[in-house]
Amino acid sequence: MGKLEEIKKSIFRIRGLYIKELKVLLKDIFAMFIIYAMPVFLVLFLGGVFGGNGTGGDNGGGGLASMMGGGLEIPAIGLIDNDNSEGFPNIDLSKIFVNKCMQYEEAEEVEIIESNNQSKLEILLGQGIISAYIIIPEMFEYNLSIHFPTILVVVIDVLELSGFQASQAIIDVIIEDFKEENNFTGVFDYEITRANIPETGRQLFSGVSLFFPMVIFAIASLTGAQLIVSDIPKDRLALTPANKFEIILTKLISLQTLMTSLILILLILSYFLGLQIRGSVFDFFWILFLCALLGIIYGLFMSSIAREPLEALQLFIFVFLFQIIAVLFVQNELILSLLPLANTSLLIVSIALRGQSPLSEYIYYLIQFSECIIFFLAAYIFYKRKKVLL
Amino acid sequence: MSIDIRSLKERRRRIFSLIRKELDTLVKDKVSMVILFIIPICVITLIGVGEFSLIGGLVELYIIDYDDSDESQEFIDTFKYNTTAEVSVKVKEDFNMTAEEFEEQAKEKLPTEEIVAYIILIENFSENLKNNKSTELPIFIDYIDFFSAFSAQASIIDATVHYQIINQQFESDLFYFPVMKPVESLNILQIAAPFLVSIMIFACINLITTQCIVGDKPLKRLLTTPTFRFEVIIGKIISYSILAIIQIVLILLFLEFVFGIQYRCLFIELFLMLLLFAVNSVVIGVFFSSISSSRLQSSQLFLFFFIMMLVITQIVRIPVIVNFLPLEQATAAFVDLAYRGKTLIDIWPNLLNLSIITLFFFIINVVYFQYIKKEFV
Repeated sequence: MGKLEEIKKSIFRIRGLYIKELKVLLKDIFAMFIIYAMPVFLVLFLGGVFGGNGTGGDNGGGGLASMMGGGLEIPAIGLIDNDNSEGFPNIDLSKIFVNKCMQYEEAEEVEIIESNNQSKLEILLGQGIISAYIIIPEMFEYNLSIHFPTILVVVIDVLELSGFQASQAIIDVIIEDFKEENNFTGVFDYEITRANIPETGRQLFSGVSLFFPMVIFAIASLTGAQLIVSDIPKDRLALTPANKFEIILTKLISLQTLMTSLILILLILSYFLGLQIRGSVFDFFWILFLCALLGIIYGLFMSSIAREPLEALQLFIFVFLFQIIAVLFVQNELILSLLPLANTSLLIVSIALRGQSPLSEYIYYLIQFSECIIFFLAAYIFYKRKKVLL
Repeated sequence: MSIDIRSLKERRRRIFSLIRKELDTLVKDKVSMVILFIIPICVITLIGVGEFSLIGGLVELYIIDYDDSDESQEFIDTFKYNTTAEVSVKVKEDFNMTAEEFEEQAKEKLPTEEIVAYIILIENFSENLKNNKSTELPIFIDYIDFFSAFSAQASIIDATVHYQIINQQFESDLFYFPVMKPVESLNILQIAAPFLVSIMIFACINLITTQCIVGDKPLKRLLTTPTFRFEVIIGKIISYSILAIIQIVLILLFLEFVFGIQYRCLFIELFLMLLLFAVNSVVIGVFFSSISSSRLQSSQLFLFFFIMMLVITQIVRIPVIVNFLPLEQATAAFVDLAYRGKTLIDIWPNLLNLSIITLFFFIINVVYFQYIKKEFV
């Protein structure tokens, strides 16, 4: 039998196995439902369909909360007015600042707790009842009247991130509003333009680089992690002419087919919910495609080294959790460049969101391709060495 | 001699046997045990010795000088040499360009990673400062990467304040330099610990538990013995909770003794709160396992719930949903107990919330397993 004939037969077997694998995957309707429901719900949540600030927000002075696109809670902020100084005739400037804060309270953007006791506010801050407090210092009005800057005392609780962000955002907005209304421009009248923020789908825009790869990688590697270790009839395949390389390759291709459809759903839904990107949709698709491929290969590797399905799941959670934590809290570029989640996240920001050329980040593509080859070969070797139980 | 299989004593005996059987099975799986306890150690160590990625880093910015005066040069020098923040400044001379060309380049580069922001020093910069004691300062910041933008804005304001102090140029203005409290919380592990501990306990325990029914092959045979279905549920919940106890103690001790995280509450209080959260993770896991017909389904249910919980607690924060998520409750309760020094009584709303969710899923588990799940018949 010639080489060509052998290759033909191999392709024929791969086609058969591919159809079988797809049928096996699609047969589990409930699992398929969850696989497809996950990205749909993710996009709907980030798109603001169930609430939050998914599509709204101003482009100018919205502060941190609207920049993030997130639905931050209304912060409670303490306020002490220590100013008794005189400066401007017939007006009490510190009172105007207090009233400005009250205006925002009436607009339900902040909850102001007025006090004249800093110790009391410190206790409230320590208990988490307020997330920040402001002290209007003595000489507030006088300093401003003689064209001198005034420094407000602002103490913020950093223990709760959402409260911290929300309170800092609203304090910025109140101060800006107060300065503008009273024409206190300072030496430098900052005219800050927050560039490159999309008009629509801000929440999607801010969440896409972290959550899209997270969902794609998680589904791909979790499903992939069960493909070998849970496939009981695979040992019977050893009786057929199909070799182990063909078996593992078809598992990869069939799951990648499903993942491709999932990526398409993700992208189409995001488009309809207003996601705006500077890069091309094709580049975005390929980044997610590569992420899915890497996820499946990681999964197959875990599946080939695990003895039990539970063990494969635990390996998955180890890899997955480790990556999430690393992406959120670690800055070491060497570690991050080796992690598919961090790599994909970086590629999405650079190429899809910023619109840079794919060539500008070729090194990260190279790392991902190398990982694909290394882990696939490793998965194949481990799978090949597994004893067939017949 | 006949034994009343419904007597409390018999039920207790059977449940104890079930727990022993479950624990035997779990402990036998050495790899699982290692992974279950290694995950928290690795993750905590990674953050404890690592660097924080959200704040800081070098801020790359362009300053486009249309004024070409001594004052504008001094302003640029303040950014280059005097700022306390890490800033890298490029000016038109670095590229041999005119101010107009340089502004065009800045516009083009702003969406890329090369610069985070650019500042324009307008034509009358020095004149305005001399005559009006004030000048406009157009600043363009790229907000694609929110945290870089945040750093850039802080660095620019820091440098301009520095310039004013050096040159004794003041005008009516309002500043604030936020004081972060508590001061010791600036340690990243300390800030991350409430979220980190909660997420690790939930992920590890919930994922393992999702396999407890769907992956229990001898369960079918077990149900032919005089064992009631709800006893099986109770047995599983207790045995997985015992596993959680070991994990919680390990995490808390590791945080305290290796990384010096100090708890402002009694250790037992923090432990009990996390135990309630772990039991909550177990009952939700048992629920996923009950309604699934394959291992893959149950682990996907875990993944679905886990990712949605992350999205809602970290970004979307829909008020109606977020307060009913165990991760949110456990994180808030951890902060209140460990850092604010509150007691279990003070955090009763969080505990009540977690208890209600736990009870709700427990009842669903018992009802579903007792009356709806027919696969074992």
